Amino acid sequence: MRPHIWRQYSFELPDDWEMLQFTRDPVVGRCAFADRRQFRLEVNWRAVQGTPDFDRMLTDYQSRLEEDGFERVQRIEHRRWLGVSGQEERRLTTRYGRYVGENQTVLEVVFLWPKNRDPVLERRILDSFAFQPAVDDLVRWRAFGLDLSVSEPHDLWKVEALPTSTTMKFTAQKGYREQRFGRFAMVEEWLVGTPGQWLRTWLPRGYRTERQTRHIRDSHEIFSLSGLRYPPTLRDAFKGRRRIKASAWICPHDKRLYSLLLVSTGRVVDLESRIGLRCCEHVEVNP
Amino acid sequence: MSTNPGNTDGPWLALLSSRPVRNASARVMAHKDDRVAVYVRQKRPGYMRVPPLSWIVPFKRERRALLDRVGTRLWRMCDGERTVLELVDSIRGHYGLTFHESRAAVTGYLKLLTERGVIAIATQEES
Repeated sequence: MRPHIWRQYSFELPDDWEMLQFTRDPVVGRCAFADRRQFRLEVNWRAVQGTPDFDRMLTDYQSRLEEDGFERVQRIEHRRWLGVSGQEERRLTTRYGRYVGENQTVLEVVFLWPKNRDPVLERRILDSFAFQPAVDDLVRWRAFGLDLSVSEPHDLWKVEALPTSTTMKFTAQKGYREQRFGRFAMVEEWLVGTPGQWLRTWLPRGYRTERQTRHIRDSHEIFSLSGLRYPPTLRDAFKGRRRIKASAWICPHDKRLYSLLLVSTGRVVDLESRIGLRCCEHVEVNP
Repeated sequence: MSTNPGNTDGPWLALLSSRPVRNASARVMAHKDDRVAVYVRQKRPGYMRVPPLSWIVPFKRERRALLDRVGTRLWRMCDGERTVLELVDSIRGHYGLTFHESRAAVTGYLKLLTERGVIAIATQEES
């Protein structure tokens, strides 16, 4: 089983279930996971005002499924999860919902079973769901092979999940401050030079590199750089001049290139330098 | 609660059983770094045969597609026998990708090669 954390919901799924669809919206959103053959799981969330009337929701939902032609519609439950199962033609779906008090959200999990329902796997997945609060102002995300900690005021702005590269970008103050994380595959096919040289091309425009270093940690050769916004803009004059810190390295275990970048101002740059990206066990790199 | 999830079968399944095959009429030249250049014959469109356009615009009988190493590797495997799924698994094993990473990369590349006439994809009709 592999751990995932998306929008502070953590859960564990079989190793071959991959996230293929996602939304960034914290208020209403969904993620969908698939194995090699088909979609297997959907996670939906919706912010609500107060505890919802689950009994009424399920009754409404049950009758809607029956109207849609689902057969053998019945109530199911597991610990704090309440749900409904139903069969349409030969396809069985089980869906569970639960109120998450920590962030006042209704969380729904939909299992799409290819043949027979696997109650043991279903319970294992449901039991793994938890809300992950921020620890020391850092919020953890685990998706697309990225395992990262981002500063709490930063919100997910953009995800680029391409076949062999993933970039997650978080911003604060309308993009003035930024934290970016990347993971890239098939490095031997496209990387020319060192990760340190590549890192310069990954920086946003308008920054002058002041210092570049290289060190080795647990057989990971980590290239880091720091710099300043140049030339400073009018916003820099009011909000503080932006500094940049970034690192890149190739993990010797999975041979992928990892990178992280921090754009912040003088006042909070040290605080935000606690953000981190983990490529394998025991190795967390800060910018 | 959300509405019906719809058809659960992955939309990618149909393509995975098809068998890509190299363009037999294309000319191939080995290139450095274990790459190949594929020269695909082109038909002259009707409007290009009419003067004065045919005098002004030069027509190339062949269009060159220079494949990178991944493309060359894929192109070599397009023998009409292997399915796209086999190609996906091969690339996945070689580069340490996940299944869907490899699937998206391979199918994207095959689409590009098909558009350029380097390969054709034979699909199997459902009985």
